[in-house]
Amino acid sequence: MERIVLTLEKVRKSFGKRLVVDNVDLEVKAGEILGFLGPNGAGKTTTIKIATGFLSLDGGKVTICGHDLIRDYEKAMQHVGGIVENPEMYKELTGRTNLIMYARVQGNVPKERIDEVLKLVGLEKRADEKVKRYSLGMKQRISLAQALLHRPKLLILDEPTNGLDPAGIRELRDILKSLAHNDGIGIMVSSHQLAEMQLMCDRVAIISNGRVLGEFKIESLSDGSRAKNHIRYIVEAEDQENAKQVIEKSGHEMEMSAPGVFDVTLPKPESSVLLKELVLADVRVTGMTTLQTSLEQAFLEITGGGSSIE
Amino acid sequence: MNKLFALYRNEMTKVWRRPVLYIMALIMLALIVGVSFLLREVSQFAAFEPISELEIEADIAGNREHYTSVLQSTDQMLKAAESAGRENRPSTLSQYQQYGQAKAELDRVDWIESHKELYRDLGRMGSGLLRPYTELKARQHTYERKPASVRTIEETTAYLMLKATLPTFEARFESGTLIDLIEMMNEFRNLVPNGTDENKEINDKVAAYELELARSGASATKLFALSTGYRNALEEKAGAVTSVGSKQHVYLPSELTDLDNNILIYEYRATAPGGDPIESATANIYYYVLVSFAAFIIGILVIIVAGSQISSERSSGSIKSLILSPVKRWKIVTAKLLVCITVLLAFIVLSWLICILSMRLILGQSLQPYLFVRHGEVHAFGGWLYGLFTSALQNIGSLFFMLFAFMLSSVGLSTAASVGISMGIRFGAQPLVFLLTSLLPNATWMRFLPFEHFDLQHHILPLDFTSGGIDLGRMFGASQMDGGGSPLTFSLVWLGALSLVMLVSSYDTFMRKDL
Repeated sequence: MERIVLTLEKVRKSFGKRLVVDNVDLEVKAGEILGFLGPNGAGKTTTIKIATGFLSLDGGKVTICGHDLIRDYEKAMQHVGGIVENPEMYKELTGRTNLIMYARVQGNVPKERIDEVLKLVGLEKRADEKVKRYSLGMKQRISLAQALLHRPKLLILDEPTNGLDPAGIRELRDILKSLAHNDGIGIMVSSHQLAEMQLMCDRVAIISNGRVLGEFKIESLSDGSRAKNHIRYIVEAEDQENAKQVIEKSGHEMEMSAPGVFDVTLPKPESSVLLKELVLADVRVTGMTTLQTSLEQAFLEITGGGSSIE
Repeated sequence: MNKLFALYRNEMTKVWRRPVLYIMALIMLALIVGVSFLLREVSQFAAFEPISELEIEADIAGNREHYTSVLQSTDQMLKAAESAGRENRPSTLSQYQQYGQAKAELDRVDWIESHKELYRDLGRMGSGLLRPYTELKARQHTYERKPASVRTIEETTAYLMLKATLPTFEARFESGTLIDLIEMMNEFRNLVPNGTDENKEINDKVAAYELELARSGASATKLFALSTGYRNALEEKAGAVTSVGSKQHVYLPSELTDLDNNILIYEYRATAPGGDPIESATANIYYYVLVSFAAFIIGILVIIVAGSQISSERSSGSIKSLILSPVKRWKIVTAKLLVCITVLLAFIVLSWLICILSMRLILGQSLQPYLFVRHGEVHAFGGWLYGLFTSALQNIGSLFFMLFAFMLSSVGLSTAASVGISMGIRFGAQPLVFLLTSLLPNATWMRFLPFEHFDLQHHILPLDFTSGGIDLGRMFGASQMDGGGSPLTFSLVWLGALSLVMLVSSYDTFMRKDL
């Protein structure tokens, strides 16, 4: 049986008369990355703040690694690492001092662990600089280092890719995947970057107007594992028969959705090869565009395509 | 407890990096040093300048010769004028004065000759000290030399007063003690109209001699037992006993105990073996003044530190790091509060050190033992300890407003608002309250204003050495009223209650607040 590190049961939270989180049920299992998606104002950050003790509950229950967050606060929070909203540290102190202070409160964090996490996030050379001199990306990294310092069983990250460059995002993705799949940490990530979520997460939960509207595995979005590496292209060609032959010959999955319009699914690197073959076969290609990713489609379908802020 | 200690260490790590601490410490140092220099100037703290025996001998010989000759020549001139019937002429009247003056100067020379040792000890002050006596004697001799026909009614009245007082003066002068001289001057001052230059001059001199008396140390210890305070206390005690039940004045039992305690302390001072607790009168008063200035700076500092403890973390977002830690919120508040208290205590100790050093290096004074009575016996504790207690007691207001600023910061106000409101009330409303107190001395509600209760020193360690005979065993008695103020018990209970409300508000709000 899979171990559950975070459970939200019928969690409710209102600000004044406005119900922001409405009976949310959610689980994060050990070793998985749960993407927590939703439009602006859907209740993502509020839910995350409830799970990390920033906000009180109006109803429901939060359990972390078997400990009730209200009744057994310290034991529950001992298993949590997190970044909520923006990464904020003590700016006048160095990155290392910030980590030393956090380690003190956590207790039983060996000294070498600080160097270990600094290396993990690639900040070992800048650790002795004051945080106020860090870029936003570096602040994200040092916050992540802090969140990982005490080897938490649950990592809760609110928009962790904010401020990171493409290489940094990829690096973060690799780190998180390794933490989840190799170290068995349960990770809950909220983000607006759906393509990134699709690449990063094992499972997603979509929230809108304070309610969780859907939960599914990334694998289930299209036909299994193919979805992760294959992209759907719409190819438009004037020479319909010739084009059909060339595409069929290439062996890619294909469907003609309209005269001269082909829906082709193929690995991304091979799109240029197919284009070259069509051109060499004298097919006049008038257009070649990608279809929306599956997660984006699902997200828009579930949320209705708009912002929930009213 | 481990987590609380870890949080406390973290808070200390942060607070000691704040420049405001060092800026305020420097301001405090500059202020205390500046005030010390000012006190030195104002109080004529010049080094005691002894006068050599050679100088005394030369003074005696020179003056005796000069004034004897003046006396003889004026006497001859006056005799000539009187035989010619020119007593009323202005030039003759002026000669009467010269005669009286010369005779008084010779009296002064006689006194110096018979009190050489004391005169040498008095140094440069001595001649100034003798001047009022000399002037008094000059009036006497002038009046006595004048024929009855030229004496005015005013002169006669003044002479009669002098004649009634002079024997006492003479007797005291003969005893030749510094204390008696000072007291004689005090009495002489009563004969001189208020507001005149002469009166002012005497006042200044009395203050200066009292200072010198305090500085003269062991040699004056026994003399001090004969001081006005002691005599007054004895007389008051005698009067109190005889007047109990009469219409004049009925002493409260507590007042009688105070009197007894004062008498015990004076006697202790007079007989202390080689000790000089007498110096506490000035040294400890100067320390009190310096520490009051330090407390002003400390008051500002702790408001800044406490007022930003929680609000600055909230505004910078760094509070998230704390909330994500596996510690209950009450521990976070406690750690932050303990840090504020640590800063306050550290600055109390720092102010104590700076004040002691300033006194030693600039004013040339050391804190003197503090005397108190317990169970009918006089006890003394070290001046350094008295200094530390005084520093702490002077900061009761700082502690109170530290809690106030901390509460505002905790309930959600910004740093600027928490610090601004606290400072505004501490330094703005307090003078207003003092003004109201003087305008409405009988308003009962005034007792509930916290400012009224910050000065616990006058209950616990009274500054004035003449009221230093407090009985610690009776200190917490419910009925003791001091100088019209609130009893200590009421002050403590009321300040405690207000502090408790502020603490509960700080904890409760932070523990419940959504962040």
